[in-house]
Amino acid sequence: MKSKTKRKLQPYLFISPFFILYAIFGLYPTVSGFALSLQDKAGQFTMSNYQKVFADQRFWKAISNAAVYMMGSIFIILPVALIAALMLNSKYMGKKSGIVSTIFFLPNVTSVIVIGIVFKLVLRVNNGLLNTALQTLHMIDRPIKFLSDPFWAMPSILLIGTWRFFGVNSLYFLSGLQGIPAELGEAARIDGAGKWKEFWYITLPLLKPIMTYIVFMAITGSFAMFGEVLTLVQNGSSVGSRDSMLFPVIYLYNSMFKNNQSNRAAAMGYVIAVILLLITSVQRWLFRDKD
Amino acid sequence: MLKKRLGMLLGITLLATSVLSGCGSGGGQATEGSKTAESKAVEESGESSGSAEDSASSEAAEANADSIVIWAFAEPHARYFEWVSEEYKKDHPDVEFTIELMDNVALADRLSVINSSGGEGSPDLIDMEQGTFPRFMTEEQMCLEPLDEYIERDNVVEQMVETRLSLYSYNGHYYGLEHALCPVTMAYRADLFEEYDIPVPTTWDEYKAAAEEFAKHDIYIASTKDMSVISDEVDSLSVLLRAANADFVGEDGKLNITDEFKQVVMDHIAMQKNGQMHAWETQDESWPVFAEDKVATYFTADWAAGWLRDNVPEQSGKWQMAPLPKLTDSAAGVSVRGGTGLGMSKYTNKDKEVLWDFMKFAQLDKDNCVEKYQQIALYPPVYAAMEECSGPVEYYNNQDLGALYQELADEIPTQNQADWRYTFTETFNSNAYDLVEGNITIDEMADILTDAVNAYEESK
Repeated sequence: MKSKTKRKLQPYLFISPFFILYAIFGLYPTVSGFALSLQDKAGQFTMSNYQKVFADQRFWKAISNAAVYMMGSIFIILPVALIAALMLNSKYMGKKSGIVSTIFFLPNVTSVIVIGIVFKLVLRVNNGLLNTALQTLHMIDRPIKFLSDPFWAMPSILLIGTWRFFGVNSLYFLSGLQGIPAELGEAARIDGAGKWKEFWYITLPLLKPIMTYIVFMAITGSFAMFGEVLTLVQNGSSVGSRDSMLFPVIYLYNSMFKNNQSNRAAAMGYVIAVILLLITSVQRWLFRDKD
Repeated sequence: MLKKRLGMLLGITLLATSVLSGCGSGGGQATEGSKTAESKAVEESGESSGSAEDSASSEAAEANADSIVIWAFAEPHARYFEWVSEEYKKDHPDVEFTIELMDNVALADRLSVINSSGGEGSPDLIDMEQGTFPRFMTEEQMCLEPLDEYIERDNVVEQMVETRLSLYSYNGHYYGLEHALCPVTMAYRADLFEEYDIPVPTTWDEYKAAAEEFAKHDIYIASTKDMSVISDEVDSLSVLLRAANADFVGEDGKLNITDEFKQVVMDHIAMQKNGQMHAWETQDESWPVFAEDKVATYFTADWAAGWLRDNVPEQSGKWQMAPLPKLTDSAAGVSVRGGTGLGMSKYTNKDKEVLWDFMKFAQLDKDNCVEKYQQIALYPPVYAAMEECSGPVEYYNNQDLGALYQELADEIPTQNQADWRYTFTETFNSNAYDLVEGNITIDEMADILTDAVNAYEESK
């Protein structure tokens, strides 16, 4: 082979392992899943799987649950993470910020199964940690059925989400904060800006790039919720009272594996993907750089 | 300095990762032939699944492609297969076995995937839990070989309690050989009934009357799952219904919500609310209540009869076993719960005659059934073995439980199967909280269940 041709081919060879693996494990299942979603059980072309998904109230309940969780992620988990990041970035933390960051990061590397089991113990009705604490403090008369009562199911999952994800998100925010030039803050202070104005007009706008990423991850993570809920319900034959813990991926999994509706599950996967695409497009539009 | 700190931070994080995420099971689960070390691994491990096991099992299977691969989901079953395969090899030294132990859900999920991918990677024999069987009760999902020809040829119907054989039937074909009779009877505290002069109930009405009487003495009639928390309580309730031929899965596999169903559900809720029945969220909560002499009865299958002995050993001699209280006049004095059938994969490339020969040896041979009872306490559904599985049981005041089960064997009701069972259970569980809280009535619950099952049927 001529050395010129060899040189031309070399870069493609170097990047080929990723593309080969992606083609096998990413592209092929994607295309195959799409084909599956357009077939009935006899393998004939049909659009009925999509019609059934669109007409399925439980599917929309799952989407609505994911949307509620997503809002919770954005308006509860992320603000908590931002506060933690601001705390870590403050001069008062000094050398302690490293160890505190490590502690914050630990929930993110904890197995989701372990988290589910531990929180099940925390949230249980009889002798659950949270119920015992609330009763000891005389804040409630009778134990709250956190996982059974539809009113409490979503806050319970959000509690777990907050514990699990605020740490890693705070580290993302921290990296964003550390990228903001100190001179900008100093200039603002010289111009008479207080702490709040500095945060609102300098820090927050400059955090937008990292926030775009964090919010994107929060949205996709909300729709991909699976392990925590599956562990919380344990026996797998329930998704909370009134489907209060039914999430899109769990519904997809149950349709495929519990009810053997593989074509419908494939269609569901594509509808979820399109919904996610729409939401993230809106998010990117909202976070666009207006300048 | 900075590098050192970063290195330490990374080290701590990695350590924490390995500790926190390393709580799953470890080690391989596959066993083969004379690999004693691996056999020991099966004996010592509980239920588990995962890539490590998968990898180990694949390696073991690849080590001998002629090896008969058996998938089991329960450690005692795997232990029995270990033993019985060794026994089988005494007369068939050329046959090798690989027993793979995995979690029940993982087993079912893997079979579903194997079905969808044309059978690649299928085991030869599958130990299938009866609750998993309905998942495969569709034409495209049925991954088991019909056994009718073998069953007819070897006259299995006369050797085994018929209702236990029909548990694994679908579309008029048999697909599995059951391990156990699984009779459900009522364990009761003879001393408490005697002390408070309460007759041992033989009917459901007498049972409820006994519950009222015991409540006056601060004793629960039973300890059951809390209906209002996420649970599979409907499965336990089915026990009484099955005995009265009023199971929510009808004989024809159709939904059958009867008045008896509604009555049993509402009675349970009432007794739990009135404090006549202890309600637990996880079973661990119930044993201390038993230990305080606060529980008078316990509906139990044979495989769970030992749980009392294991958890409240100090009550040895105080418990006795009696037939179940009858829900209706025509109800049987025994019900049925649970079971596992050994089936043959339709994808196997092994000699099916050899596989069937081993299945018979493991599940129908009298001596092996007796040994199984002694090893893992599964009372056999095989008539020939019943006689030898009797004898006084010290914990139950030297009562001969085997004799009681043998006496009731032919009354064992059919446990009807339906592929919509999961949908029914899920829907019931999703609405149980509202039923207990009074947000919906039992009739509304029945409508919700009917709609869910109909929707499932329509979606097929």
